[in-house]
Amino acid sequence: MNDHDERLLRHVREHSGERPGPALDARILAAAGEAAAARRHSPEGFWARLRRALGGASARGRWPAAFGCLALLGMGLGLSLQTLEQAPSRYDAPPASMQRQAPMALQAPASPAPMAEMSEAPRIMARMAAEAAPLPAHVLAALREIAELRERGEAEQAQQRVDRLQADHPTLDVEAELRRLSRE
Amino acid sequence: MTAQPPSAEPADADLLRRYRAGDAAAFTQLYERHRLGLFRFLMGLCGDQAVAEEVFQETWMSLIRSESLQREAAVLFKTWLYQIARNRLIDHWRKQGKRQQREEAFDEQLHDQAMAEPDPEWQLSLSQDQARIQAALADLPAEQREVFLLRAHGDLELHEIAELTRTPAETVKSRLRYALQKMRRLLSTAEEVAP
Repeated sequence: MNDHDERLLRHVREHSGERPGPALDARILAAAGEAAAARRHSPEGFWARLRRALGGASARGRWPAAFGCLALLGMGLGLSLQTLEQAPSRYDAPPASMQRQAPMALQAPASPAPMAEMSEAPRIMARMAAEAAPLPAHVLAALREIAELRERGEAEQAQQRVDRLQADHPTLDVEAELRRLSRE
Repeated sequence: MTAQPPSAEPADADLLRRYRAGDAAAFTQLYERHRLGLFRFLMGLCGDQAVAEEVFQETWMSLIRSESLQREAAVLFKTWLYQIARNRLIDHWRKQGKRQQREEAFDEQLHDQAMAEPDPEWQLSLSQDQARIQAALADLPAEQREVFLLRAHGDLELHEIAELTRTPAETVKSRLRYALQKMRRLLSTAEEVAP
């Protein structure tokens, strides 16, 4: 751009006579006046305030807000995971707080019972059932016969009878039953 | 006119801020500062008073309706204002389905060869007839005319015109040079009296 160019531009500028009509000027200025009055009289809306607080904040103010949101998100996520871990697998399971308050005796053992102890259970139960049940009449007769033979000093015959009874009833504790019979 | 306001007067951005706060007088000041330049820019582009008035009104209304301060503040207010006006006019042309397309390349070649360094006497004898100026503008290729009008009436710098029209700065510079050459030739009294 040289001086001649500037003079040409100025010449065109100064000799251009077009202008907007007065009615158009009036319309635009009236619309602007109404909008300005509306802004003066209407309180700032919620969204405008929120937008100003978020968007209009300085960069220094936005970073703490961003970190705060991240921290809040992390805490929420951590609590959710912890709750999921403690959640009962069954719908009717007691709440975790009740489980924590239950007496020690009612709580499940910390470790499972040894396999040997578990395998003994049926035999123990069978023995207890056998002790509770009355002995059959022929076993009682056999036991009384053995006791009489021993009283008469016929130890050899008594032992043969014991052996026979034990063979017929392997689970029967013959000596124990003889002691119980003698106490009766 | 569209010349920059003296330093004592408030800047465009300050006036806009005051207007957004409800000061109608600030808008009036802003309007008076830019109304002639913007209107003559539109008139030079479309050559139709009714279309220019319609687009002119839409441009100012969009400013009135807008709540944003940041967008206007991010760029020079004047650049933003002329960009809105330009986009509205382009939209209008699209709706009407008519925009004059010219062979700018051919025209630029022609005037690049035809014009030598201007004679100062020629400059003094430029036509002052408004109709002749309007006719000369209408004779420019659309892109050259746009750059010329933004420089003449918008008083925009080349880099601002480049930003506004999304055109490389060198292209803008070239278009303005060709436009000035052609306008000088068309407005010269010597050409007017030539057979």
